Amino acid sequence: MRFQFTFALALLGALPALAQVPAPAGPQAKPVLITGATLHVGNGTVVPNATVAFAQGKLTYAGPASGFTADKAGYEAVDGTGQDLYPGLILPNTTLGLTDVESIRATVDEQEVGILNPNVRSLIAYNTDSDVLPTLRVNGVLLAQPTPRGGLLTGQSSVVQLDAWNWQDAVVRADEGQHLSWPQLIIRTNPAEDAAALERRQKARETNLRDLEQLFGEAAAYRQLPAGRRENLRLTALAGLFDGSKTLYLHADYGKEIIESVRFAKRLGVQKVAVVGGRDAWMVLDFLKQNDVAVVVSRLHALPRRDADDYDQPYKLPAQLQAAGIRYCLDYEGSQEAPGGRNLAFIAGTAAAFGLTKEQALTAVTLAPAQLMGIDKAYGSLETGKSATLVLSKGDLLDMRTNNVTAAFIDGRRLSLETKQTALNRKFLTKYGLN
Amino acid sequence: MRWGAPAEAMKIAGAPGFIKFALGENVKQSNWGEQNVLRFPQTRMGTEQVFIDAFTRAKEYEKEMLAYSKLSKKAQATAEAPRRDLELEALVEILHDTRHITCHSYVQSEINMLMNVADRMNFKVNTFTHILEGYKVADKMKARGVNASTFSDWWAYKNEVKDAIPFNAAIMTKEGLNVAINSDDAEMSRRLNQEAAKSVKYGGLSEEQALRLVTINPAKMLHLDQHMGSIKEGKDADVVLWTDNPLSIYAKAAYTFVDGRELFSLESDLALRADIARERERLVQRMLTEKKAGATTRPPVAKANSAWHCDTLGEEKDLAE
Repeated sequence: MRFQFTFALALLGALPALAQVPAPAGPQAKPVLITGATLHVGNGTVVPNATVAFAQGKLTYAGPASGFTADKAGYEAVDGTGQDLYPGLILPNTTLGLTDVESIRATVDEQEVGILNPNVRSLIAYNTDSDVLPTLRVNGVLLAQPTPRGGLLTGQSSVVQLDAWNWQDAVVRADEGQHLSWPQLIIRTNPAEDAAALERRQKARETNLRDLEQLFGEAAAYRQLPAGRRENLRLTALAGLFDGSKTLYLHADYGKEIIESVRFAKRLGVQKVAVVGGRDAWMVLDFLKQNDVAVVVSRLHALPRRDADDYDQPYKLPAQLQAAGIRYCLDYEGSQEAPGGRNLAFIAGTAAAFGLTKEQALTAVTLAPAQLMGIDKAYGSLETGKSATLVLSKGDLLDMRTNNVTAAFIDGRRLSLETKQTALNRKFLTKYGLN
Repeated sequence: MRWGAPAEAMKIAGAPGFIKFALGENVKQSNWGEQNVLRFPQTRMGTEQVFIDAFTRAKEYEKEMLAYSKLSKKAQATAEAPRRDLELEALVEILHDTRHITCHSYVQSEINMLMNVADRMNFKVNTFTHILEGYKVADKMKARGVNASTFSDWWAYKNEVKDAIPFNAAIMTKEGLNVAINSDDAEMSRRLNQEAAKSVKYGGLSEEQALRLVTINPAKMLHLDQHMGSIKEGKDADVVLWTDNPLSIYAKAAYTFVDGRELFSLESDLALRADIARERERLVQRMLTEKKAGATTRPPVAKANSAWHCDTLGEEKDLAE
């Protein structure tokens, strides 16, 4: 009997190591009360010694402790004293869940063949069983926008939450955006190529733009056709751009490409556009302001684009956009973007080191992306009535020196903070007798 | 980092010679496409044999050279002189511990393999770099006094880094190894202080231990700790004044000195920016004047800066794109 008991204990001990992707948390059963923490609302407001209460996934109170007068009995208490409370961070424009291991083709589902694929949807490829996902949650990233890559019209993105059984369970907003990789205006040629290659590429660009224009024109006309029309999947997929139900994300970095792409979209009747990348957005601030175009700023941990650029140009771009009154949020696009997405908070930290206030930087990874993706009624800030999607950290979340997530909730569900990596850590600490 | 100096002047006088070794997917060409499947080795099995073969030949070569050198002048005149082989000479230097190995590595099997080959052939591995699975063989490395230099939190970008964990540096440090944080990414290298800071978060190193990961520890690995890696009378004046704790994301380098010479300061950088702006304006005006005077024009040409990586080989053309 004693042997069996020990064996059972040993099994229990082995469980975390086996469960590499923890089971998603069940629906919030009991109201939760977090007290004593510094509340960072996400909209710029900071509330010291705050009380935050939530039930059935929704915030029932988020404000100063003094304002919470309800009976505390019946709540599950979480002591947030000395800690900071934030909205769950939102990672826009990412291949998270679409790519597991970049170098293994079989695990890469981010780019479809062909250049005009507006009907392709990232959502159905989003893999909730990827062991990368939990490693983002433990750093505070709780929502993401899996986005297809490549081509011209690369397909549609969706917004998902990062603790789910399957993609249907994960979806927060399905198919909210179309993504257009704007053809490069300045054509670069390989030194080994001849002058004819340059001409070929310029021609290809012109062809691409003509094809795009034609497709958008057809899509606008197509939606006017009466019911019973012959179904065209591509044109149907573009319809939402003309009534504002979908956003057209224009992936462009170079200043003139930004202007060219926005003008193109507006001229063809697209209602909502945003620029993604925008590395040269600081050169076209007036244009962006006048046209009220938001920018999803590409990973700021980047080198300056030109020899003559300021060494901190990528770091200070958010502050330049802020000063100009332009809407923006921050992403982590680039090499190793899925596993690296766990550094999103530090991207915001860098923006704060180079000109933003810490609360502005927080907004750039919470409320701002929520507004851009049209999920801000429920997500992006901690206000009464909104979703209880939040992160508690023992120290400033935006600084790797202090980021230390002690609890995380999505829609009131308390997440496991276990990952494949914490399991391996324990396994080898035990091997060396270090724990 | 003697910015502005010619390449030869950037070298550190008296620094011992190193050699780069590599293990893993790069060596066996795993990610080179289906065309690259013929060159030996294609597996970790073959990689071991490459090392054993090379050091076996190096030992034989040394023996032959020694035997020839011991012959009398007269005997040398008639004997067949062994052919000088620069590659094998470098390996002989390793066997004599006058040249040190820095070895690119990922998974525990290959790390273990090279250490066993080293035992058998009687040479030392100075440092394993990248070494994302160092935490799995930290005890074996400790037994041989091998240094470890690793990425802070990279993983999941290729198969051999599936088990990489950000706790790696902390586990190896706690096990008693001399550990450094490295990056072969040009952008990340300029924030190496922040990469080191992650070992406080992942694995709970003290801030002092974390700072050592990018100062004195790598200096020791390079056998240069007598001259650099800490601030001490008599050592090189390579120092940085930070605006905040250097492990914090909010810290900026305010002044940077190399060999006592100021190479950067926030203040002088502002002056340089003004210079660049003036020069740009001058060139633009000059071009406009020339254009008005009827000079021929041409469309703008893009110039891209490329970043080079540790496994950049034969990609020069791609990089130029």
